[in-house]
This record gives sequence, C-alpha cells and structure tokens, in this order.
Amino acid sequence: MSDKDTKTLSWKTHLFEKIRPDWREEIDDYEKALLLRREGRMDEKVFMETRLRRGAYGQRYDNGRRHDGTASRELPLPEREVRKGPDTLWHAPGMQRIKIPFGRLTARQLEVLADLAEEYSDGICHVTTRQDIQLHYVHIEDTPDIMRRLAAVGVTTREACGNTVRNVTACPRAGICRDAPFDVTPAAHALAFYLLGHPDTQNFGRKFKVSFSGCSEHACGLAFMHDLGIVAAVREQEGRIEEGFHVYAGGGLGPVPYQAKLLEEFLPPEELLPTAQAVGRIFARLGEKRDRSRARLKFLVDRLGIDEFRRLVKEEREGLTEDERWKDWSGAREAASEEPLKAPGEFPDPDPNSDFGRWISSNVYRQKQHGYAAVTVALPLGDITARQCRLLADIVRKYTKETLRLTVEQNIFLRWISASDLESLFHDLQSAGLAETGAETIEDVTACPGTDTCKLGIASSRGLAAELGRRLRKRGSGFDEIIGSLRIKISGCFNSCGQHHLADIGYYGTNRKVSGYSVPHFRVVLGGHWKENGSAYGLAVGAVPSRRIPETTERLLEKYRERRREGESFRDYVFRVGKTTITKDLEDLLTVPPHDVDPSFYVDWADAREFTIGDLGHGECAGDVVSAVDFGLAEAERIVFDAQVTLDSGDFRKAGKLAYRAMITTARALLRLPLPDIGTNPDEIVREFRSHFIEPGRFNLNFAKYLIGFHEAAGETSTPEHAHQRIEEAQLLIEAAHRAHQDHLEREAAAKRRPVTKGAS
Amino acid sequence: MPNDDTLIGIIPTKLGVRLFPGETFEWKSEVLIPLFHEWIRRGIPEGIPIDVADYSHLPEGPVTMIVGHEGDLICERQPGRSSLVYLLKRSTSGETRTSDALGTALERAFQCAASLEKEYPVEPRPHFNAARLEIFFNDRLNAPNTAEFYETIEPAVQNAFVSYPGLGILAIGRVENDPRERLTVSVESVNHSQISLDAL
Repeated sequence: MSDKDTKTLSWKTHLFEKIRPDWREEIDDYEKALLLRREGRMDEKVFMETRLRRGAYGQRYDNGRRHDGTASRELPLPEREVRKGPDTLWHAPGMQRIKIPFGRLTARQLEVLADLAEEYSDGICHVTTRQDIQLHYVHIEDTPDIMRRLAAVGVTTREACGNTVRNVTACPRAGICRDAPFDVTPAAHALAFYLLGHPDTQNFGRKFKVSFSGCSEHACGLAFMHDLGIVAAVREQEGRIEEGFHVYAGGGLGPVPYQAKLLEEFLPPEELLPTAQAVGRIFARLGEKRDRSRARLKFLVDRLGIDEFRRLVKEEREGLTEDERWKDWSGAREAASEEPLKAPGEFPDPDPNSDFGRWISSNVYRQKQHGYAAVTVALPLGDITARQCRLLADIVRKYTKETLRLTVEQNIFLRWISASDLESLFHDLQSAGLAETGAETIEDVTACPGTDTCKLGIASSRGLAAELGRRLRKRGSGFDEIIGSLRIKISGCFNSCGQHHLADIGYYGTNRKVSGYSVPHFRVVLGGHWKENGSAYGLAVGAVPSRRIPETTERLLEKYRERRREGESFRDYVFRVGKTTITKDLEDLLTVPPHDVDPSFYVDWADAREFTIGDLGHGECAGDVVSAVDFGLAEAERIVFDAQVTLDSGDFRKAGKLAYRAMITTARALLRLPLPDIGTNPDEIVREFRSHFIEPGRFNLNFAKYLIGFHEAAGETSTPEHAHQRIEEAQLLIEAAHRAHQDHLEREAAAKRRPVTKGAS
Repeated sequence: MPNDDTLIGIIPTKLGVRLFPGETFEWKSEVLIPLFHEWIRRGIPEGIPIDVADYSHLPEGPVTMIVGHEGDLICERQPGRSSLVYLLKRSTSGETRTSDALGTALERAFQCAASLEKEYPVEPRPHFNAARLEIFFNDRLNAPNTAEFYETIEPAVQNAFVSYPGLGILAIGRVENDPRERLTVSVESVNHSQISLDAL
C-alpha cells in the first residue's frame, strides 16, 4: 500500500456511523466483489450481474472501441485485459443508476447527488423516465463510495438494474391530486421496501417493474405498461367506503408492447404485499430464463392466459407464511407523509402573456388542498446541473418541508407550495435557470439517453429531442391548447426507454442503408394514449430520415390542425384517417438525398461523425441470467476472502467462523437446485446436503467431509494454523461445488436431448 | 520554494483548472462538437479522450465537453461568464504531490486553450487571459472547502506555478463561494492584468 493510500481519508470510515448496518455490509460486500473481480477471482458474468444489482451499468464504448467517424478504433485504456463483464473493460466509463422509490427526494439527498455528479460524473444529474437518477461516465472503482454517500442519506442503489424489481414508481401527484381517491404513496413505499432484497425476487429471468397510480383517468402512473400496475380504487361495502387497488399484470413496452391485464378487480391493502410476492414467486418459477427476449412477465402472462396466471398467483399466495409487514404500514405511512411548510394562500392572477403568467398556466397545478399548488420544474432532456441541484435544494427548503418528486416525464415536481408564494418561487427558480415554461406540453420532449451513452442506442434521441424542443419553444404560444397539450417522446432504439409507444407523437431510432451508407432514421409511432395510465399504444407509421423529423413533426401537426373534428383527440384523428393517409402525407419526407448532395443526412443530431451503427454493444438491460447457484457460490468466495483478511489481521477465531459460513453458504447455493426455498439454518442445510448430494453420490465425498467435519465442530477453530486449514478447505469445497453444479447442468442438458419413449415414466 | 511534501496524503489527482476566454465570449456547441470529435481523433487532450458530451440545451454548466479517462475538457457557461476547465480525474502519470498533479492539469488546460484559440473556426474566437485563473479541488472529503484546508493546500498551489515565470508574482486566495461548492482558489498575476498564452 502506498503512502497515498494510507494517508487519504475514506468515505467508508468517514460515513461508518451514518449508514444503516445492513446497507453498510451490502456495500462492503460489493466492494469485495470488485476486488475479487479485479484479481480474476470472480467470474465476469457473476460480477456483471452483481454490479447491475447495485445499479452499476455499462455504457457506450465500454468494449474499448469507438467509431471516430472514419473508422472504429481501439480506445487506449489501461489494463485492457481486466474486465467488469463480458467484453466490458474495467476502466471504461459506466453509468450509475440510482433508484428513487416513487421519485421522492429530500433537499439533502439532492445536495448529495450534486456532489456525486461533480466528483464522479460529468456534473449532471439525469432524471429518467422511471423516476431514477443516472450519473454517466462513472469509473467502476468509484461506485462503492457513491453508494456509501447515498446510503448515508437514506438512498440505496440496490436492484436499480439487473434481473430484479426495479424502481417502484408512482404518480407524483399522489396525495394532492384532485382526481385520486387516496394517496398511494404509503403503499408504494411499503411495497418498494418489502420487495427490496426479498428472497423471492432474487431469481428472475429478467427485470420486473412496478408502478402505482392514484386514479384511472390520467397517464401519470402508466399502470398498463408495467409488469405490475397498481391503481387506487374505492368501493362501498355495507355503507362504508373501502380503499383498495385495481391490480394489472403483464404489461411492458420494448419492441413488442403488451398491455397489462386485470389481475385483481379490488385488492384490499393488506393483500397487496403478499399478492406482489406471490406474483414474484410465480415469475421466478415459471418465467423464461434462457431466452431473454421472451423472459419478461408479459410473455408468461400471455402464454398462461390471465385466468390461469391469476389462479396460480392465488394458490401461491395461500401458501405464503404470514409476514407482519403485510398489514403494518405504519413505518411506510410515517416515511411517506408530507405536510405543508406554510399556510395556504391565494392564487395570483398574472397577465397570461407575461413570463410568470405563461409559467403559471403551464407549470402550476392546483392541489386538491385549498390554497396549495404543485409546480413542475421542467428539466431540458431530464438534465440538471450540480449547481442547480444545490439551488433547488435551497428553494425546496424555503417553500416546502424539504421534499420533491421526480416525474416519468423527466421533470421535478414541487408540492405543497402555498399559492401566495408562487410569484416568489417563480423568481427563485428563474435565478437558478429552472423556470422554463411549457412543462408537460408539446415543448417538453422526453428522450432516453440513446446514442449519447447507451450501448443499445441506434440514433440520437437526445440530439433530436434537443432540436425539436428548441424549435417548438420558439413557436411557443403559437400552438392552440389542444396541440400544446400533445406529447412527444423519443427512444434511441426499439427498446422504448423513451416510452414512444405512449406518446401522441413517438419516434424511435433505426438505421437504413442508402447507396451503401448508413443513415439515421426514426420510425414514427402515432396516437399513443397519454391518458388512463397509458391504456393504448400508438400506430407505427413509416421511418423518416432523422434530419427530416422536425419537418415531419410540423407536417403532422399541420395536418391534424386542418383535418381534426370538433373535440377530436390526436389519437382518434390518427386512427380515423389511418396509416395510408398519414404515410402519404409524409411521402416526400422519406427520401434521402445522395451523400455528395447533402452529407448532413448521414450525420446524426449533436454529432459530427459520419453515422454508423458500429458502436452498438450488447445490452446489459436484462443482465445475463446468473443462477442462484452462481450467486451463492460467488458469495461463498467473498466470505472466504473475508476469512483470509481476518486471519491476516490476527483474529483466527473469527476467521474460522467465516470459513465455516463460507462452507454453509456453498452447500446452500447448491441446494437451491432441488430446494429453491431452502432456509439458512446450518443444521437443515447440512442435513439436506447429505440427502440430496452426498448420499446420491453427486458431490465428491473427500470435499464434502470438510463441511461435515467443520459443522460437527460448530465452526470452532483452536489455532491460527487450524483456521488457515479451514479456509483452504472452504476454498476447495467451493471448487467442488462448481464442478457439481456443472455436472448437474450437463445431466440436465443430456436429459433434454434424450428422445422421449412412449410409456416411459 | 514552499515544500508540499506533507500533502502527499491528499488525493492529488482530483482537481481542475479554470481559464477564462474573455468577458463577452460565448461557446457555440455547433462549432465545438465537430472540433472536439476531430481532437479525439488526434488524441487531444492528453489522457485518453473518449467521447464528446453535449449539454448545450442547459442554461448553465457544461456546454460541450470531451470526456476522457484521466480528465475531462469542459467548455462551460457559468452565470455571467464562459470558461474552459480541465478536470484531472485520475493520474496514470505517477504524480504523488498535489503540485505535480496541478502542474499536469495546468499544462493540459493551457495546451487546450491555446489550441482553441488557434482552431476555433468562427469569430469571435476565444482569447484567454492567463493573468487570472481558478483552481478547484474535486474531492470534498480530502480537500474540504474550508479556510483551514486552504491554508494547508496553498503552498502546493504556489509550487505548481514555479514553471510559469511569465505570470509574474501571483496573488493566490480562496474564493468565498457557497460552502457546499468545491474549494476554489483564485490565482491572479500581480504584475499584469492581461497575459496571453504565448507569453507563458
């Protein structure tokens, strides 16, 4: 260790007391996994899924190659042989996703995000379409400290990516909405933290997304595009109003969008957590694991049918062991409660043509609580600088009880503003460069990261969104109310992170070859339903060259203005006039001039390089499916590492205990094959291990004896040498477990290849 | 010469140098994007440049930047002024002293500024004044924004400028900013109000 290492302060030490112990341990474990991977002692796929489950994601060019406009070139990053996943260089920048349950942040958390953006990223916090924050260009070795600094203010990145329950989103108007029967925030909080790290959500074939909505009318919660969409509902029973939820399952966007189906017409609150748990168990057990393109819950629901799926969920739910958290939401209620800082006030009546008047009209929502307003801070492309985060934290402290919410339209929502403070708030936001008007209108274009940073991006969704936003803002008040209220959403590829299926005008990036050149295009999707929780998707029309999308947008709006009937929505108009007419409207915009006539068509927005799809990488969105066995064995490996470090530090008894824990963890990992729900009791584990592996001869007895012998000694060691031997044995046991697992997989594959004989049992 | 050996304990590689291209100058992203892609092809700035990031849609902060492995080059727009930042994120050159790391950042910042003066393809071009610049420490744990820490680090800052005699006698002081911001140090030439990069 160098002088530098010994003398610098570490966040690990500095924040020790401020992080809850279980989160602290998780992050320490993650940091050990980094070390093991760095030393080549952890499989790269297992490490990739490990980091994804902590939100540390890949980023464009992380395979160490980049097309510079003339050719694909190797980035001269150091230590190219060290990898953080398959084909992913250790030193290549990555993205850190930070899940923010239901998008709620405190002022202090926002300040910490600002510090992290400056110290580890590019000075920008990016709000995603699922109420997360993303930091880009992050070095993998900085991620443990990022996590510690977040954990110290109550934010975890656990399960922000990977095959897990992703951020639980909720309508940002929850609790203040004029149309919602009750506040879904406590339910969202209770479910988010119940499912976080739950054993039943650790073995999915792909990601699992949950959302909450307070009502059925508006889009905010987007229940229909989620694996589990939960909508507040009330019913009258014997003269009493009961609160509950409509529950939908099996929705999702992606290349093939599915609408979620009604799973439960009315689910009482106390049934919400066990039902979600049961859905998770069914998904883990029956969901596709090998073919990731068919592994989302939507495919399982589609294959089984919603009736059979419902039956299985109910059956599963019946078998669950009661958990006190199902009914006791007191912690969630307390954590989710919000109150105003100030007394209610009078709404101002400004000149509608003034800046303040325009802002009031587009960015301010009257809460159901008299005299209070909620304000949308429109963030261009979901971006906010570190300095703006600090200024906003001050504003939040000045006008609210220090909370704000992120929205799926990549904005920030301030609630409980006394109406008489609106003018003062507007001026404060103006000073921070945060008073842009046109929030949640046609000017407020949503876009996923696209080719800026995403490995899967085909075209520049952000470049296009910035260009469209600029042009539409110039038009500004030139739009009538109907057109002004339309939404434009852009994805860089067909995977739909920009939610283009749900927009009035949606675009997603694609590539077309023209005379041997690649030309960026966007496919046009029209008439998505940005209402009723996203209850219908748009109609795909043609693919237009990226350069002509601004003109295409103008044309689409112009034709709608000309042809629309009284009160006709854009969606109704699109489906009335049909694809043929609209395609004809756009016909002249589909052409691409030859390269020597107009080379600008062959370059994407906000770029200068000749367009190529040569930088496309492999997505980590779903992660690779890493089995529970692999994960368990990786954990055992990490514990052995701990044991060695502990022994080196002189505590041989503790080192011995750790070696014992590693052995038990190894046995438990293998037992997940026959017994997915195996518990953590060592006696049970050893007993079952004998029965399932040792007695049938499926585990090398020489190594199994290490486990049996050490278990009989209750993990006690009497000398440092003894502890050292046990550590060595634990390592050998892990190796043997890997071989046993491999044998199992080969037996399984052979069984599948074997022809089925009639009458065979 | 001040000795900053005692500062070995401070992570020396996380710091930035901010130069100013003129009172009224404003960066144009449509100019910077092609220029920076070209620079990446030529390996500018030193330290493994990787990609161009554009944030020109924001009212302040980075306009367009080159993200690199060792450091980032950022054309930024702060309230009332434009600037150029070279931010050293990590070292692969073996710097063990803050002044060495600062020396690396200064050298790269001056090199990039000089290249921008020459290669910025439209008028008005940036004209940097080396007589006034800022340094900031991008590590709130090891380089906190406090008067005490400033006192500790000041000799290292002095030391880093030994290689730039053209700047003359320097007035070095802590910028009184928001305590949540990074420790920022202003460096001004006492002898000259204007120094061109060629004079360094």
